[in-house]
Amino acid sequence: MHPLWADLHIHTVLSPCAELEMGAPDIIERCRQEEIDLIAITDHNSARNAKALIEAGKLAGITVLPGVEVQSREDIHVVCIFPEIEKALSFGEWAWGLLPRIPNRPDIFGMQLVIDAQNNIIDEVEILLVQGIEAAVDEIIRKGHSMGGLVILPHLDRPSFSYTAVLGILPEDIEADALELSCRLSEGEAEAWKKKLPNLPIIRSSDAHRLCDIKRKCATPILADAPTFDELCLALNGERGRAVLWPWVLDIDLRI
Amino acid sequence: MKISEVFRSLDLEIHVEGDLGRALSGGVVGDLLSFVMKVAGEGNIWITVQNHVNVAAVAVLKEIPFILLASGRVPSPELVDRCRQEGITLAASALDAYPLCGKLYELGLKD
Repeated sequence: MHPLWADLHIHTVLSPCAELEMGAPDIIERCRQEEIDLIAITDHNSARNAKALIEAGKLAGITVLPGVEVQSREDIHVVCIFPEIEKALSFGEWAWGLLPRIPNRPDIFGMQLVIDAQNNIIDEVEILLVQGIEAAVDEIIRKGHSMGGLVILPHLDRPSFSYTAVLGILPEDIEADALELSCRLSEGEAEAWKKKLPNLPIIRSSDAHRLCDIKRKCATPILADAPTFDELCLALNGERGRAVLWPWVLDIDLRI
Repeated sequence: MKISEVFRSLDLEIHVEGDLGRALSGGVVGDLLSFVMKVAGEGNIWITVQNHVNVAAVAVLKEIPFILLASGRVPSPELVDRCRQEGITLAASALDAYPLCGKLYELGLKD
């Protein structure tokens, strides 16, 4: 079993709110520098840049899982991560079908670029991706699971676009696989959240919109055999010796 | 009805003065940005308790000239800055959204 670092919430140039520096080789290079082993690409309501990142990651030995950060009708974000690109794209198509057809205004929100592994621009999405789709948060969670994905409720400590900010207390039987807190929290604040949310594993992700957001202290250490989707699932479930380690321990150094 | 008339008739805390001579076409009430993005009309006053900076982005997108924060909400500094940049009028009221809408309706803003 190895200690690995995972950051399961990263945006690319497809997300209008992300900086244009968030290209494929650039994100991968930054992860390599920070010694992050496993990432998930989770743009708003689309998985169309995941393939470019997967290819760029292969060259650097960094595992990239394809995902989508879906925005619900209630303006709650839900991160869904898939084992294969085809499943992520298919899930993204489902979200796209439920997305209101309001055009993006790049001058207000930023550009929405689809790229390849070398940062060549393949397409520009003209419908605004940062909108709520016509589905409730619970429907999105069910859909993510039914398509074989992992479902994470992100940035629960943030005042906007989180389950807790919009709907208040998280139900005990919420069908998520993990809960994400932002890396802005102190260890004490994170511990307080852990006490409030004892039923599911808590991870920390960068929700990176700029390259400098990607860093070890915004990622989660896990114990696993390899940086793969299946091993991640085992770690989130705490099965067969795999585990999510508590990310807020000071001075943690798991380099081997 | 012009924005300046709303200022004269209601007791508001003014954070950003945009074009006070701008005529309002009606109003929209909502705290979910996605919802307002769908239903707001050009020239509406927007009554909300949401004070995230993205409120200004939605206002630009939907050509909303006047954001009115209800229930004593204090706008974030980012929202104030963004409204100033975009020329959007931003004010706050101690009243909740329901009585605020009632007062605006009485003033003749009925759509």
